[in-house]
Amino acid sequence: MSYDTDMLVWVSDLDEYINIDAISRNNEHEAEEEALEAELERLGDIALFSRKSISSRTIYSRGVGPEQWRWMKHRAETSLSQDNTPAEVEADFLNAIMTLARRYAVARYARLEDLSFSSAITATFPHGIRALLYQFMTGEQSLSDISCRNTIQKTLHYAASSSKLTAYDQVGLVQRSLHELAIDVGGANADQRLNKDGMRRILSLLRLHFSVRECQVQSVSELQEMNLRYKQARIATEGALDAERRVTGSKIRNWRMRSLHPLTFYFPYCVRNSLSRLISQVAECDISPEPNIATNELALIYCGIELMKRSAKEKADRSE
Amino acid sequence: MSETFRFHAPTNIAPGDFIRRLSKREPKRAVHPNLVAADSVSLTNAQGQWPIESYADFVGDSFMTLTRKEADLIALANPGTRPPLALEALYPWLPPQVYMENSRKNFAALKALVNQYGNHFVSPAAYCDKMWNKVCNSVRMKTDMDVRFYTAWHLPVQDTYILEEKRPNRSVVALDYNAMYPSCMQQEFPRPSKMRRVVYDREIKAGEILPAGLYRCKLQSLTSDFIRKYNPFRSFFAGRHLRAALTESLSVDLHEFEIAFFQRHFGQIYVSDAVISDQRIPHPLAREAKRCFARRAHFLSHGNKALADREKFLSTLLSSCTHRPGRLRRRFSSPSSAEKCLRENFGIVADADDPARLFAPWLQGRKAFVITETAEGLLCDTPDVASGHACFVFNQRVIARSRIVLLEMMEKISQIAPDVEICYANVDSIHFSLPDHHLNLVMDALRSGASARMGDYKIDAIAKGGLWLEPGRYWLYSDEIIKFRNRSIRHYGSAFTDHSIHVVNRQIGDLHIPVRLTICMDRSMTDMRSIEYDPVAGLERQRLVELEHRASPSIILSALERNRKQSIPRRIQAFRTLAASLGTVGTRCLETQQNCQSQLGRKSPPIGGVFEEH
Repeated sequence: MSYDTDMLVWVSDLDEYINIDAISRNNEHEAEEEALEAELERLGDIALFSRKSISSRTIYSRGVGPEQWRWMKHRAETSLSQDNTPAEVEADFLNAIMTLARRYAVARYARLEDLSFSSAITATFPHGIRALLYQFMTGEQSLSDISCRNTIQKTLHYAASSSKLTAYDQVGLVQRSLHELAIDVGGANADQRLNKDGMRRILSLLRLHFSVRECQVQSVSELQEMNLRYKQARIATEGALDAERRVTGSKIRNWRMRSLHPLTFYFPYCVRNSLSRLISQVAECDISPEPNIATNELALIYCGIELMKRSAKEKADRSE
Repeated sequence: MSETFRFHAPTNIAPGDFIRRLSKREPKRAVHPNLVAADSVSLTNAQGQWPIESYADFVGDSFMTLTRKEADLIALANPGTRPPLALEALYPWLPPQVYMENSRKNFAALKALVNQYGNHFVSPAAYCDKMWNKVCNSVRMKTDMDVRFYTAWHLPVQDTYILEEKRPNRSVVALDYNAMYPSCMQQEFPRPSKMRRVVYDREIKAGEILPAGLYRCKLQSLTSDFIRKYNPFRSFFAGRHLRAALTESLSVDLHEFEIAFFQRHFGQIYVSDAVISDQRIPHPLAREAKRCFARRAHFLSHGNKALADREKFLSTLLSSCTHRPGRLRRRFSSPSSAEKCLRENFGIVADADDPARLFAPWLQGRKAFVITETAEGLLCDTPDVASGHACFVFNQRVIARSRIVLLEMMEKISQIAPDVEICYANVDSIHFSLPDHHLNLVMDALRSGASARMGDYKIDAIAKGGLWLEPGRYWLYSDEIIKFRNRSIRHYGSAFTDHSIHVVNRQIGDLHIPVRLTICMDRSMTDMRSIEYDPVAGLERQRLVELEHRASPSIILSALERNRKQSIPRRIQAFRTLAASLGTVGTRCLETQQNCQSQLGRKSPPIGGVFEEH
C-alpha cells in the first residue's frame, strides 16, 4: 500500500514526521473492531433446540458476521409462518427445513444414482413422476397402451397410500405392476425385454419420489416413525443377507441395504444436526419447539448451507 | 441523501450522444390452434370424442380450449405433454365463460365464440410488435441517453393510507380516470433522436420554463404537509421499494412538469444535469390511443361490451409497447467486474443492503435480472437497455404524467372540504372519505369536472364504508358490496374469495409438468406497510416502511418482520370481520387452511412467500 498521498506533519518534539492519515485509518479500524465486538457481545449465545446453544463468536469464526446472521434470521423469519400453537410451530419448522434441504438431497441422490438432475427434480413433483413414467412406458412397446397408463396410475396411488412401507418397498409395488403389465400385453418373458437402463432409472426416480413424499412429515413423532421404519427394514435385510450369503451368495450383497435410507440421509449436515436436536428436545425431553428457537435453528441452517457453498467454491477454485 | 430511482442509485456513466436506429420486430406468423374441449373424463375435437388421456397422442402444433379449467384438466391428465392454451386466458376481454361437465357442449360453445369473435383475436405480443413497428417508422432513431429514462423512477402512484373507514356519518367516494395512460400519451415528448445532455449545476427558479426532458434533481427543504403525508417517493432496498425519507435531501430524476409540481412543495430544487431535447413530438401512438378510446365508446354505446373491453385491453398495451427491451447475456470472470457493470449500467449497488450481494434472492429473476454462477464465471442475464428494441422515454414520461395528474387531484381533494381523508390511490383511481354533511357540496364541486371524455375522471362509487388492504385489494360497501378488487385471486364474482387454485405449467427438460398452486391472500400480502391507530381521527393508518439513507439494514428488517407479525394478521382479521358482517363468509381458506393442508398431505411452504404447491 502506498502512503505517498498521506498527510505528514512535522512534530519537532519527536524530531520526525507523523502520518496523520495513518493514525486516522488506525482509529477507524479500531472503531470498527469495537463495533463488531459490541455486536457479537449483544448477540451472545444463540439458543438452539435441546437446550443447546452456539456462540455468536463461533459463528463469526466460521465466516458469518453479525450482519449476515441478521439477514439469515430475516430469511428464517419469512420462511416460517406466524403459527402459535406448539404443534403448528413444529410442523412449520419441519416443513421449512424439508423444503430447504430437499434440493440438496435430490442433487446428491441424482449424483449417487447416476440420474440427470432435471429428471430427479421432475420426480419430486406429484405429476412429474407420472410424466416420467408415461415417457418411459411410451418407449416400451408392451407398455405404450393408454390402459397401461391407467393401471399404473392406480398402482402409484396404491403405493403412495401404503404409508407403512418404506419408499424402497413402495417402488417394489410399482415395479411388479410394470412387469405384470408387460407380461399381460407382450406375453411371457416380456418383462425381461424391458429396457434395463430405462427401468433402472425409472425405479430410482420412483424411489426418490416416494422418499420425498414420506419426508412430508408434520411432527417429530411422524419423523421418528419413518426413521424406525427404515431401521427395522435394515435390521430385517441384514438378517436376510446373512442367510443369503451362506446359501447362494450375491453379486451385490448390500444392494437393498444401499437403498434403504430415507431422504434425510442425503440432507446436508447442518440440517441433520438440527433435526437431531429437535428430535432430542421433543421426543426425549418432551419439550415443544419454541418459535424463536426454531427461527435460530433455521437461520443456522441457512448459514451452514452458505458455508457449504463457499467451501465448495473454494475447493473448485483450488482444483483449477 | 435519499435516492429515488428504479434501483439503488442513478447510473454513473456519462450518457453518450451516439445515435442508434430503432429496430423493428419481425411480425410473428399467426398461429391458429386446433380447437379442443374437455370435461373430467373426455375430450372433444372436430374429429369426435376421446378419452382425456388420449390428448398426448393428438397430432398438431397447438391446441386451445374455451376455459382455463379445461386446459387444467387436460394438463393434469396428461403430464409431460404441452398443455393446451385457454381462450379466456388469451383474450381476457371475451365475455365470461362457464365450464360445463360435458365436453361436447364445451366444444360447441368454443366454436360459437370463435365464430363470433375470431376475426378480432390478436395476441398481445403481435399487437405490441405491430405498434412498435409504427413507432420505429415514426421516430426512427434514439440516442444512448434514452437509458437514463430506464433507470429513473418508473412506477405510478400506488399506495394505501387507511386500513378501514367505518366511522358513522361518513361516506367514501371513489374517483376513476378515464383512460389514464392513453390520455397521458397525448402530451408532447422530447424527440428521442435529438436528446442532449446539459449541465445545469444550479437551483431552478420558480416559474422557470424548462425544455422537455429528464432532470437530475436534488429536492431540499420540504415545505408541504401534503407530500409529507402522501409521500410519493420510493427508495430501493433489497428488491423492495420503500418510502424515501424526506427528512434529508432527495436525489431523483424528474421531468420538467414534475419539477413545476414539486416546486410548490419543496423550498429548493437543485438540478445537476439534464437530458433534454429542444424539439418536441407527439407520441407516435397518440392518435391510435384516441382511436381506441373512440371505438370503445362506440362499442359501449351499442351495448357490445366484449369489443369495448377489447379496445380497453389494447389501449393498455399501447403505452407499454415501446418499453420491451430484449435480453442481454454477458459473462464476467469475477464478481467485482459483474458488480461494476450492474452499477454503471443499471444503478444496482450489489453491496448496498444485502450481504449476499450478487446472489441476493431479488437478483435471481424477480426484477428481470438473473445472475448465475457457471464454471466459466458469472453469467448476467439483464435487459438490453441500450439496444434499438425499446425507447424508454415514452413510457417513462407517460407514467410520470399519470403520477402528477393523480397527485394534483389528491392535493385538490385533500383541500376540498374539512376532515377529508384520502384512503387509497392506485394509478388512475382515488378513494377518499368525508363527513356526510359535506358530501353534497363536494359532489357538486367534483361533478363539474367529471365527464366521460378521455383523461377526465368519473365518480365511480359512493359508499358508506371501505376496507383497503393494499393496492389492488379493496372493498367498498354500504349494506352490501358496491365495488371490490382482489388482485391475484380469481374470485369469479365472489367478493370474499380469499384464495384461488392455479395450475401452472413448468417445463423441465422436454417434459411439461403441471403444478397446482394455491394463492392465498395472507401469503401474497406485502409486509412493507405498518398499521398504526390514530386516536385523533379514530382510524388505523397504513404507512410504508421508511428507508433513511445510511439506515442499518437491521432496522429495516426488524420493521418488515414486525409488519409481517402484526399488520398482515390485522388486515386478514379486518377482511374476515367485513366478510362476516356482510353475511357472505367466503373465507374457507383462511379458516380451514389447516384442513386444506392436511387433505393435501403437506403444509404450505411459505418460502417464496406466495404460492403453495401441491
